[in-house]
Amino acid sequence: MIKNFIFLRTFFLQALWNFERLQNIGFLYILYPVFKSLYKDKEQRKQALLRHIGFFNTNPYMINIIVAMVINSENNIACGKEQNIKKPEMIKSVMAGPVAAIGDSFFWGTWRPFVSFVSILMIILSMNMFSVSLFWIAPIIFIVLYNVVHLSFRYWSLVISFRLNEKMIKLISKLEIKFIGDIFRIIGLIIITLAIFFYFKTFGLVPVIDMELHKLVYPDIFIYGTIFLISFLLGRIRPVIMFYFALIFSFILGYLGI
Amino acid sequence: MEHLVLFSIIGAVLSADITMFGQFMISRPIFCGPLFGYFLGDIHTGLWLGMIVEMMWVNAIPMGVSVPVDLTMMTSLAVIWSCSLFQGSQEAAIFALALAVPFAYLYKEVDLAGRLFNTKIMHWVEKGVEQGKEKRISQGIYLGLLFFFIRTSIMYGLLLFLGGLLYKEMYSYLPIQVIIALKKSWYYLPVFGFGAVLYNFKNIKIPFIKKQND
Repeated sequence: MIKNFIFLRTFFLQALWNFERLQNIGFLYILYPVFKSLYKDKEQRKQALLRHIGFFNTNPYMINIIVAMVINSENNIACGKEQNIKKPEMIKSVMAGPVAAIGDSFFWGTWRPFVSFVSILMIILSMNMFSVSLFWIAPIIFIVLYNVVHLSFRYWSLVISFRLNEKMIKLISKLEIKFIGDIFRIIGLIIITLAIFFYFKTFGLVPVIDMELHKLVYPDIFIYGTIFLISFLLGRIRPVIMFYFALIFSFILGYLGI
Repeated sequence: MEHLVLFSIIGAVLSADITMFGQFMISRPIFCGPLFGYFLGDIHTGLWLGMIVEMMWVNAIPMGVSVPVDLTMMTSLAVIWSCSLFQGSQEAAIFALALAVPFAYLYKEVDLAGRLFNTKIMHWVEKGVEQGKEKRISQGIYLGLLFFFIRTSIMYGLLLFLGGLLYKEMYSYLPIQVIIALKKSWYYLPVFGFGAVLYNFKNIKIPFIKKQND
């Protein structure tokens, strides 16, 4: 029951995100009900809360691992099994960076783009093969697919971290997140390549010669290919510059009558 | 624009997903674009604009202290303006997006100011904890959410209304060459997006081959 309560509270981790100590109050908010039951004495509870008021930052999807380990450690301190009252702070400072790197690279760098690519492929396939009335499927797939993995991981990581405690570090290192990420990136590349293929198939193939006008008409596939190459080469620049460059490029093409 | 208040509230709820609460990705353009499109009876435009923004800003995520541009606001403004004022027009939709981009960057400044204000609330909570006022922890969290919600709804309302007027007025004065170019952009922008997405794969490693090398 308390695990479910903590699980719900972890969604508020960044509700008071600030530039000075980032997620500190969010972290306190998650721990507060646990501290209330662990430390009945108000002064002891105050000291425990003050231990966790400092700077804290991690990936919000990975917070459950740290929360469970800190609660286990605080539990040991409250029961007198652990004498080192700085241990929970050590856990936080040691764990926050590495788990954040895993969360950032897997969830935000791999899983979210991957699910986006699946949805983009669905949109383009809806135009190419299926009915336009199936458009609504793409955003539904995006949100369901993303959250099935995300929420399952968050809940699993909380429950398993409570049980394994410090052994969780070993488990994370065995998960081979990078390897899984690489596989998803390759599948993502295949999916986006398919999306490009179907996009070009739908919009990029017009006759090379306009017979009525007796003149050479630039095939769209050539124009699309050029745009594609330019955007790939300019991939490093900021998206906003890319966006307005794309608009200006379209104006030039429109002005030239291409 | 008769649902201005309702859309401002929905927009603020969706934007809260970026950092404030949950991160369920309901804030991503590919979801919020078609959602507003559905409300206004034009899911196609919503989905298309959402797809363009999703691909071009594929790397915009809130990591560490970096505050990315609010893509939810960018997409929502463009979809609501175009679907409520020029429904079904591709060129009007692209123009709406071109106008929504600077507004989203403007909102980023407001968001930064809001996060600076959060620091003051944080200090208030901190003092409270030192004085034994533990309730301030929950109060601080709810205040953070409340201030975010108020400032974001107001910004949505203002930008939807004033930006909508500006958009309608500007669009009616656009020369035909610009309209043609905007129509072309409807098809060209996703291709630019594909290029931006593929650029991210330039350093891709094939895990099985790498394993053999190891």
